Amino acid sequence: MKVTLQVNGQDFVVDVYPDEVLVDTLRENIGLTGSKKGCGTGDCGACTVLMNGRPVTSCLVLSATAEDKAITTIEGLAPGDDIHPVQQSFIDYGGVQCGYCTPGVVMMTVSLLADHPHPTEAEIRAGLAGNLCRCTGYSKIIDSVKASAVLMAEARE
Amino acid sequence: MAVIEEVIRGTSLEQVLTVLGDPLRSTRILAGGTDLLLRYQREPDRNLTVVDVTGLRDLSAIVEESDGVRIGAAVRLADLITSRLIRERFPVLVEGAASVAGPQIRNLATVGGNVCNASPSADTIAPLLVLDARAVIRSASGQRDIPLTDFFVGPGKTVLESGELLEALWLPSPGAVRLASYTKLSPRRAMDLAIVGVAVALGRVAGALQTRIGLAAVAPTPLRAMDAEAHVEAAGTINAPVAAEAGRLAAAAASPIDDVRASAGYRLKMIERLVARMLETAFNDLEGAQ
Repeated sequence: MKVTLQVNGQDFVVDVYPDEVLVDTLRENIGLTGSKKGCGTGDCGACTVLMNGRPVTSCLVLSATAEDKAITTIEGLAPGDDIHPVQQSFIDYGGVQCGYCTPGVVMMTVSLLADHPHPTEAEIRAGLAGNLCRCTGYSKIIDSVKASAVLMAEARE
Repeated sequence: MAVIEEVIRGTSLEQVLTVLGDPLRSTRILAGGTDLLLRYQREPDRNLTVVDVTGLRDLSAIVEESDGVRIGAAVRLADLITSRLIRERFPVLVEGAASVAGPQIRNLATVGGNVCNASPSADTIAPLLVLDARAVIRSASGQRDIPLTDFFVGPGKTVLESGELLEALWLPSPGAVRLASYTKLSPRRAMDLAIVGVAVALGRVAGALQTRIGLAAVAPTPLRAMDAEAHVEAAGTINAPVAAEAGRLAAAAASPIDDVRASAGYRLKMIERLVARMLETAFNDLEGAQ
């Protein structure tokens, strides 16, 4: 079935199967391979994208039902070759190791900081509860989120 | 293995009910999708039509009425948690909803979906039971509403008949001061299912102690421990012996199983302890609040 998806501010007309999930359409059909399909069951968070500004696991969204929603993927966080302050902080603070979980964690962090511009560590941990990382032990991810909050606060001043 | 053959975006309740009542189709309601998309493949081999109800305004609204609050079945858990009305009036439901999975799932999953999926361990159901929730059920031929206690038949099974849809959950306004809480035991603090879930609500109505105890993950369906409730109400007060006996009666109402998460014996012990402890705490808070 043909659907029009609005991804990163651009319309894509795509042909999807009725049971096709958004992460597959983004990766296979539109070519945005930043979002990762880790588990396919909503447990790992690697496929996290923003839908109308809210983070969701795109493996649990039927593409056919995403038609009238604004979708933002990791590729859409910053224009062109620029990177988002959250991405910069993850580089600076070693929040990336193998990198597989990183797009999902970054998307979740962007949402977390929109809700809590100055998050406590408990808020960070609760916010990232749906994102699994098997490399870092999370400490450096938490450090990166804290650094992101500082960087974004500076940018706002 | 079932296949989703067709996806219909619901635009009106009438249209959804018409599709749902079509005997030539095998139709499933799609709300958040967080259970359905994991489960449909395990259904018997047939082609499914899914109808997305999240676009229906009535099903996505939380409405304050003169004698209670109506929560549309397709209200997302994240919206339930941030609703000022629900936070003020029914915080125990916020506790339950906030303990489901993680933030991404709560942005998709709906309260009606959590109820209709009818998992014994569903975290919103025990809180809804102690709030005396009613299930508002619609079909092309009309509407009925029943106590939520009568809604569940078995794991994944409800009284919903072919052609019927859960339209809303209705919560009556508490008659007086009421204190309620939900405790979920699970190995992990997030992204996990309950080993035991206990919701307790206490209120004073015309001097009498009104008691509700809801249990999750300890029987084929979520349930109320009515013998334990009656014991507390007859005592009219809660002290250590009353609480302990209520805990024992609550455990007697349960029929847990051994599974990978916990043994039946552990679950029984935990019900006994949690119910007793939560009753005592709620009673002390209730006395303090008056």
